[in-house]
Amino acid sequence: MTKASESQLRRALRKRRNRDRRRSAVHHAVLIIVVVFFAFPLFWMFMTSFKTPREYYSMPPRFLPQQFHLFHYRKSFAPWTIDPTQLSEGTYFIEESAGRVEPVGPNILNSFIIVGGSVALALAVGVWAAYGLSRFRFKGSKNMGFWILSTRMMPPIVIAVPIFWMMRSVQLTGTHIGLILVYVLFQLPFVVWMMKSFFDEIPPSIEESVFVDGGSRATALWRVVIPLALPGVVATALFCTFLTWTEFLFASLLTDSSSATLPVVLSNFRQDRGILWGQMSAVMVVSLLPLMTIAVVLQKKMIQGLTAGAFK
Amino acid sequence: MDGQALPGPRVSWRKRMQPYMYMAPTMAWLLVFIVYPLIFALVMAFKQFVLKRGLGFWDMPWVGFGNFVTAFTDQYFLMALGKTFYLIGVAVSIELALGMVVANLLSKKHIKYDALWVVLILSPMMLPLIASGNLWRMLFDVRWGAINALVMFFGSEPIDFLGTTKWAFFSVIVVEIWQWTPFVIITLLAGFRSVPEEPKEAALVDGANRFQIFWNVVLPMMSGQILIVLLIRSMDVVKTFDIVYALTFGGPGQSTTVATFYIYRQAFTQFKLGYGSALSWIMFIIVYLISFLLIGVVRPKETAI
Repeated sequence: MTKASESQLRRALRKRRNRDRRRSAVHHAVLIIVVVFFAFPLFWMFMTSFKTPREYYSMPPRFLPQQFHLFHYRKSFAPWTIDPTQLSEGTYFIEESAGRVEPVGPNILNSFIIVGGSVALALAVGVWAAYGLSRFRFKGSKNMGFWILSTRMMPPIVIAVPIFWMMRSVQLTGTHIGLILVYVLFQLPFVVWMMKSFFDEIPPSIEESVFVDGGSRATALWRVVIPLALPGVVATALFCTFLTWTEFLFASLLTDSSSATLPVVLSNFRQDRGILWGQMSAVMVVSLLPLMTIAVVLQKKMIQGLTAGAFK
Repeated sequence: MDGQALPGPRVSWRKRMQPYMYMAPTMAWLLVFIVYPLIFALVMAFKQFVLKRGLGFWDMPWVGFGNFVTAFTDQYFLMALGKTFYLIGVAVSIELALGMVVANLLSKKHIKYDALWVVLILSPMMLPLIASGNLWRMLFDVRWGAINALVMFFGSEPIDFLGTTKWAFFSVIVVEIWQWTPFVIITLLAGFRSVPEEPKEAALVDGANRFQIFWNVVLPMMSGQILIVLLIRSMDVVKTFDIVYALTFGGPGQSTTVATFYIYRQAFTQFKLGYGSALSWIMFIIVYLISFLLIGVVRPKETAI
């Protein structure tokens, strides 16, 4: 290789490296803008939950509170730690303390009971169909599977009126049970299709050893298949939690003040004097935490759930 | 699907019924909570609801097709339906375009800390819809909202995003995009990552430029994913309710009243349960027509539904 061509080559390489570097810089810059759009509102919510009303009503707004007050959290989750005599002494929170929002501890409990109960029930009901679709080839299996999946396309409002009327006539409005029954319905298509995909990965030969020992299919399912698919069961349960933790329409129709879930509480922060933004932000931050945890645990399985049944 | 072969005539009746026994609990649940309510709603749709003490369901007067006739002449309902379709068209296409760009960027090898980016971008999905409506009401506020601070920083007058008909629908679209583009991004990102390297390199050797590679090599391989995202997102936009409820409550006027919200208002704030049922059925039929239309496009591909 001559000297001239070597330097030419080197120049071309450097040029290419510079171009790659420029392109990479542009790509990162675009990503930063995208991330700001998606993450900034959440940052804002987080900060508002620590601000005094004077701070969050200020214009131009302040990015960070002067001091990270836990007042809104205490008021929502542990109101007994607030000394009312101190409030009237001219703290920042007088206008906030005027709002009569009940502490949300019981509502978090409601959310856990209703979501937990419905996930357990949906798994108990749906796992059979998932196994059936995975292991048997029978007349109408394809149509049944498709029909189960298609129910997720239906807008919930379509059955809201009759379900409301049904629940009212059997006096299940205002109870946990009514809402649990409806949430099972929303989770079933996901349970069936996610669990089917996990069962498909388990070779049927494993169950045959149970049949040889004289066990039935149901025994094989409970003793062998489900323990093997346990990570899938956990993923499905978490995904179903993700689906129903945020449900609002039916929660608002079927619960009363004693059984209200978190999304219902979040829609109730309108007071005569306006909206309690700080306290609302604090409750929103807390309502976000379970789902954040689930998303971190699930990662890739979440995409599988969101597009359940769509891909072979 | 491995497992048992198709049962022949020799197989006992019990054995042949076995798969259906496994399907029974799920099918029964869906029958009780979807099929029965739908039939019930159909009956309700032919009645006029008078909420009076001691008046049972069957005592309420029949109105024949009255509710359906009213629905098709109710300009507010037709407007609300139009808004739903408009929202599907605008929001889903922006989400898809933005999702393609971001997912494509994230799949590139020279992007550092891609896991961190993904977590930050996904964070809106974790927020309950009703909370994101609340949050954006805070950001859009005309007096002290952060977005108006930005608007004023650029020397413009503050915009009343939620109080004017012109901007309110725009605000709903923004929140819809903010909440759901992350879903589009992760689904498409999985698609981009599954595209093998060899065909891309082969095209590069053949002298194709980057755009040609994207258009002719990558995109065809992703068509399945793109269609699925399109289908799922369109069906989900039809369900839009929580965001409107928390952000604008359908207002100002009727400007952000989408179909679901209109039905909700008719049925549960004006207690026209019969009329609400009729509207529900009309919506049900429209949604199923659209989804079968879309699935008809998707089905020949490598997808399962």
